[in-house]
Amino acid sequence: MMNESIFLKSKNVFLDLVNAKDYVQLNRVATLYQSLKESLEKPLKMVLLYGKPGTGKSMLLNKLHTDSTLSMKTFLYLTPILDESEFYKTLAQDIFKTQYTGELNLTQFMKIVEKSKQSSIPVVLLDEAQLYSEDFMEKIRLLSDARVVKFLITLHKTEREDLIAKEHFKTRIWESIELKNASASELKIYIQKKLMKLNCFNTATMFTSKSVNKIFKITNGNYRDTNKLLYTLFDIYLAYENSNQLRKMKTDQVSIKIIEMAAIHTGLLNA
Amino acid sequence: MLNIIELENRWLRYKIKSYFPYFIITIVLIITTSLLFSSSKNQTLEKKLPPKKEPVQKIIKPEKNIQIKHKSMMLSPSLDFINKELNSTHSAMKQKMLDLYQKRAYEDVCQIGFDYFKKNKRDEEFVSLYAFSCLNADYIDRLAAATAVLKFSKKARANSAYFSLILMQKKLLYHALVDNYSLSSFKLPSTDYVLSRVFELYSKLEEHNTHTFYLFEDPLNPKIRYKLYLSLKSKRKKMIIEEFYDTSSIKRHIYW
Repeated sequence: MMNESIFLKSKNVFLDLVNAKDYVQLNRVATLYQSLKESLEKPLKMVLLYGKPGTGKSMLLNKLHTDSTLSMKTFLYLTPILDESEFYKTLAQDIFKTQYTGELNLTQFMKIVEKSKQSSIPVVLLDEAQLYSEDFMEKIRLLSDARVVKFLITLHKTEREDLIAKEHFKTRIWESIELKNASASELKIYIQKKLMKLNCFNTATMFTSKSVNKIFKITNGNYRDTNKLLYTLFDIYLAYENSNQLRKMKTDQVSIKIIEMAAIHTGLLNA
Repeated sequence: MLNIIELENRWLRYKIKSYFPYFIITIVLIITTSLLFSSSKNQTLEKKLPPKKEPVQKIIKPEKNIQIKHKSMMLSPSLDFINKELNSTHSAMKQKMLDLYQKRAYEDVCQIGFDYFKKNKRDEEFVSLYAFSCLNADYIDRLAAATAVLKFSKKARANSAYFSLILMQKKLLYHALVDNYSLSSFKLPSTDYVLSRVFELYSKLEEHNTHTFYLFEDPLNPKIRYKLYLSLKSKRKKMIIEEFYDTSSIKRHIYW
């Protein structure tokens, strides 16, 4: 059997998938994760997790959902359920094991909640909450006020979403946590840990401070952009390898030229 | 699969585009620095050097006692070779030279004479024809060979003296202009050739610092003026004499 190329293996590491097993523990994120866990264990009504796109909100939510150390039941919804009735029906089905046919509104849903006797308050993890309408968000607030379901919602940090955070939730949210882009040193650890997790040691050592700084300059430490860039970077190495041109190149460290080529291809650099 | 060649081309374009502003800035900086440097250098030099001599704009008029030399001091060449009919024994080449001379194609005749000089150096008519052509074309240095061989007849010796005087005057005047050599002590015969006339006017000047140019008025005709100066455009300094008639330039002689 032919050996799989190290570049192909490394390329697949950076597929932009939200998978808890790919979660890379960085010191700063670990602290945030811990405080998020503690917040959920407190009798809070709502917790807000916000940050710019690609800062790892979905990944953190996923990690929280799969974490076996969490004492409460969590229900993760990465894709927003925009139809109100469908939303209640999904919650009734997943949390209270109640099948409901026909339209389901807030009052009917509250009745289902009252009938079921839960030992602990379930936690609903809602990703991309900026896609819900303001009316709908108001009903989610009512649910959390009734202390029947605890919500952890994530928002993209934009002007409008800041407004949502301020106007709708400022009195109800007890804790809000902001996720930020990685620093250059964090980015280096992120890249190397991600590669080493899948035994790509050779490619992990290719990332020197110089090359990581170049990547940081292009992606500004954004995890999604970094994944996209590195996926293309290894794709380029793979193309060189397939056309037998790799021997002419230095492979002990990532070439700045190839980083720039990957950035051009992904649109992170304008050429 | 990625198109690596296309991507490499895009990368190359990107690099050129990204370095272009730096390239422009560098060029601008180099130009600015060199301009600043040269202006500061000029300022320093201006401080160190004595004030520049003003070019001579005043026409140097001949003093009352400067007259064209006495006839006995004038050397006259013999142009017999033109006046007398060429006998049949003369070669076609010599005939061609004479025809060209009469058409005032002096430079061509000088060149033919130069090319066939060795074969015809004993033919004094040929040598005189060659030497006068070179003189009219301002190729003064070529007169040296002619003066050496013109010695067998009286007319040939007269021409030899005529050519050697002009050659010497050219050398002396050039030496004076380039090296500020004084000519005031020289009392040489003169000729009707422009260089001799300018030499005579120049040698009448008292010792002086070099001027940018000299303007002389012909003592025989005040409308005729000569401008003498050195051209510094090329590596080798060239001596220029411009003839003016009523402020209009008639002829420009270049000697080096």
